[in-house]
Parts: sequence; C-alpha cells; structure tokens
Amino acid sequence: MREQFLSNCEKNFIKKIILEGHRLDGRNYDESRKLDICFGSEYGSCIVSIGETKVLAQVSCEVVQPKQIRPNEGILYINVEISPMAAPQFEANRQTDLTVYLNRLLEKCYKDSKCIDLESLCIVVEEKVWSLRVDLKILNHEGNLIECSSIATLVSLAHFKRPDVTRSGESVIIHTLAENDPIPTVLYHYPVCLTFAIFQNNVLISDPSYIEETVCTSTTEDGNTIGGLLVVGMNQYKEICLLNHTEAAIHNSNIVHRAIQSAAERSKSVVDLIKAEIIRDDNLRQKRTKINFSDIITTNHVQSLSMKDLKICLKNYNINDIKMEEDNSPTEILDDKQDIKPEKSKYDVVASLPQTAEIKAKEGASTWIEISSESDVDSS
Amino acid sequence: MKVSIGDVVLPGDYFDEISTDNAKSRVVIGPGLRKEEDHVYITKAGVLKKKNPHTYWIDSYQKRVDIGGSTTAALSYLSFEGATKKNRPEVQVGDIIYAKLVIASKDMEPELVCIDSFGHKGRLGVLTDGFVFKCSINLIRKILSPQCPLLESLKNEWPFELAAGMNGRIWIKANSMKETIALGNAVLGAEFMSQEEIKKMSNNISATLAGHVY
Repeated sequence: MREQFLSNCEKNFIKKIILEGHRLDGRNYDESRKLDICFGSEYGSCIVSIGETKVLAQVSCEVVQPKQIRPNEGILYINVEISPMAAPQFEANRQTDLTVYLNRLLEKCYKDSKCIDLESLCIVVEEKVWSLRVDLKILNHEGNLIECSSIATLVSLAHFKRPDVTRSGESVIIHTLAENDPIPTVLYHYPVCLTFAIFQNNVLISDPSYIEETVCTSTTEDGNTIGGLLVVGMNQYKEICLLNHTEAAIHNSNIVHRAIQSAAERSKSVVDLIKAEIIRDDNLRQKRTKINFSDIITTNHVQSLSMKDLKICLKNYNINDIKMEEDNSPTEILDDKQDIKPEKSKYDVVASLPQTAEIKAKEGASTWIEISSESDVDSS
Repeated sequence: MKVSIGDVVLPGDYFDEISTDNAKSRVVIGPGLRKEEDHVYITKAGVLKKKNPHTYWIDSYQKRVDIGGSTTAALSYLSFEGATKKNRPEVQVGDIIYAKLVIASKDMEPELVCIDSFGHKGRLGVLTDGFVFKCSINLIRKILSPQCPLLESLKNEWPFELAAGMNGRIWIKANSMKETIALGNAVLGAEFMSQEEIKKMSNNISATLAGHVY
C-alpha cells in the first residue's frame, strides 16, 4: 500500500494552528506525550510507548569470536524492523529508508557514544566475547519513532542480564540463570535521542505526532520544505551524544540552543524514569512476582481497544470532567435538557441534507460572543 | 469491433493483442478494460493506451482518487455541475472532495460523481480549507443517525460546517482554528458516550472555548 497521502487541507491547517500557538492534540510546544515502560517476563525485553507509538525491544546474547581489530571487546548489534503492523504503508521483510535511517541513528547513539562497557563483555581475548543483539520491532507508528525506539533500546539494554561465566583453564562454563545470578550490563551513561520538529525556522515542537512530522517534512507548493526534524541525543549529565537534522536547513542558531536546553530537561526526567522503573521491576522480581506483557492488556472493559488519547483535543479538555459531573448531579442534566429543548438555534445551522450541516450566516457581526455572556449567566 | 493501441474505442469493442502476444508474461489491465473469457473487452469510451512492458488502459477525462478503499476510485471531469469538455472543474491533486459513489461493485473500479441525478451539485464538490481526519465508521454512523444529539447541541454553540463520509473521514470547518479543533474534539470524543454525556460534553467544550472552565 502506498504511503498515506496528506491533503492540502490538512497541511495548511496544521501549519496554521502551529504558527498560532496551538497543537492538534492540545499539547504545549514543549510538552511530550505520556511515556510508558512495560517489562516482559525475560531479562531485556520491554515495550515502550509514547502516546500511541509503541516499540518492542528484546536483547539477546551469544558467544562469538571478536573482531580482529578489537580482540578484547564485545559486540553490540542493533536491528530495527518495521512491519505492516506499524502502519499499512510498510511492507513485510523489506528495508525502507526509514529502517536504515533509524538503525544508523541508534547505532551512532549507542555504539559511538561508548555508553556500554564493551570490554566487560570479553570472555577470552581473541577467542570468545559476548555479542549483544538488540531487536526492535515497531508495533505502532504514531510519530516520533526515533525517540520511542531509542528509549526502548536503552531500557532493554539497562534491564538485560547475561548469564554468568566461569573459566577453568581452557574450558569456559556458561551457567544457567538458575545456577548463578546473571550479570547486568554495565552502562556508563544513558543517552536518549529526542526529536524536535522545526516549523518555519522559529517554532520548536517536542515529540511531534505522525501528522506533525509529515507536515513538517513535506514540501510546499513552491518546492521548499516547511521545516525539519532535529534529533538531539543527550545523556543524563547533559552531554550531547548525537545531533542529526533532516530536511530544510536551519537559518537560526538560536533554535538549536533552545532544542538542546529543552532536551537537557527531558533527558534527565526520562533517564530518572527508566532507572526508577528498572529498580521497581528488580524489586518485584526478587519477590518472585510474575511480570509479563499481559499487564498492559486491559480486560473486562468495553472500550479497552479504543484509543486513550484523542487525536484532536483542546488544551483544557478533560474527559473525566464530564463523567464525574454526570455521577454527581443527575438532576442537573434533566434541567439542562429542558433548557436546551425550547432554546432556538442562535445560528441558522441546519442539518439540511442528511449528511451535512451548514452555516447560513446571519447578517452582521459574528454573534458568538453572545454565547460567552450567556453561558456565564448559566454557570453562575 | 477489433481495435489496436492508439484507437478511439467504445464500450463493447474488444482487443485481441493482449491474449495472443503475451501468453506467458504478466499483463496489467487498467481502468476501462475487462477480461471476459478469452477476450479483453472495453467498458469505457476513450483512447486505448499502452505502457511498456504490458500495461494497458483507457485514457478518458477522469482522475483516480484515493477513497480509502482497497483500490482507487475514478472521478470523471464531466461529473461536476456545469462541466463541459472545454470548461473543466478546478480540481488539484491534494484536494478534498465530497462526492458520492455511483458504482460500487465487487469486480469493477468504483466511480465517483459530484452531481445528483438532476445535474445539480447540492453540497457535493471540492471542500476548501478546514481539516480532515479519519475515524471509525461506527462513529460516522453514530453522528449521522437522527437520534444523535451531537450536531443538534453543537449547532447552538458556535457556527461550523461538517461533512461526514462513509469512508471514515470527516471534514470540519469553523470560523477560527480553535473552534475547528473544538469541533474535532467534540466529534471524536462522542464515540463512546451516551446521549446525555454528549450533551454535557458539548456544553463543557463551549464553556472551555469561551474561556471559563467550570
């Protein structure tokens, strides 16, 4: 299936609301969606979700021969897979530009920043080292894959424990998890990739959703791109590990500074969350509590499959407000009903044809200010 | 009548070249062509075209439009109000069109029109500005049902335009950006709500919009 084509309406609308200071889902410019981390039953498996974007990560290890140039270092390998499950435009078992880009970016962030102590993965120099393989599977693509998959990589690596090894002379014994306590991976620092969408060279948006990402990287009628995506890799000590920018060039150095400042705050909170979650998981495992992915499946609930967040949302909208008030004041609703029924429409919005409603604008100035004054009376 | 590539063809003509020439290789037949036992018949008036290696189609005054189905639908330039061969409607790639299906059968390409049977456009045609979003067909049916209080209660709050298509897409437009977002919010939020809750919600949203939250 072809990639979903974005209509001109959508592009213009998103561009306009962002320049006006709003976002489609009611977030502020520097607000991210909810980050959720869930661990699987084995060490090194987790599902990380940012809003509706979900990534499954699994670390596995095996004993291999080291590379010739680095005889005393273990090997880290990252593999990203995007299936049609993520979004219908992807094909199964086929590498796309996005897969290669993601893979390259994550390898840059986690291998080149030397956050993992690869030397501790060595068993016998020039003969046997551990090779860690991180498999990432994109479960759902709702924008900001980079951030989500980087957090997933980090969480699974930090959570992973490899089997203990003892050497007796020439032979090497690999103990099972039951025999000897497994050894955690040593991480010097925790780098996280954070994505920012830049609109019109002055608006900076953190954690862009799918539609914002697409609009940001799409081209306008005159052939220029509207903005670009800036990826900042940063660890908890506010050290930059990676900087990557795609699409339109940045004319303004200020915006990069703003992005880095924003990233510094977020990376700290993300890393703190990751550490807290891993400690919590460790404690649960010591108490022999069963942990698996079934926890994230909601059951006995009619709306368990419905999305939790609305894609289009006002800043102050809260779905719980409505439900709560419903419970507290059943009589009030009846009053409302009586109020509404005799009330005549202030506008000639008529559902004339069965599938449409149209404004037949009354002459003169817009009358919608009237509502505010009236509803003021209602609420008081 | 037997025809060949480049000819002006009419429905009912047949085209032998496909079945004889390329017995082994894969052949793609596009819109306006239909395979009926051994022959390939033409079902549309236009010019027969071929693209190498083996792709055939009928070129006529129409475009193919994504309607969110498994295949694209055909939209003829002549299916707009007052359109003639010289006077073409202004439809650009990327526009949103409010149209209805005239053909929706299993084996044939679906076809769209923007006029009713009297030749009037009604509300159909190109939709400008506003915003389009996808939602479940369940929600579309819900808001289109006469029992649903959503549009009834929202229309008292602020002016807007809305077009709901049975392909799971809703187009909305209001005077300001914030009102459009509020409308989208109300429509999407209504999916799992009871009638009473919907009324409550639309009051709530209009209060938020007016600037005082209670």
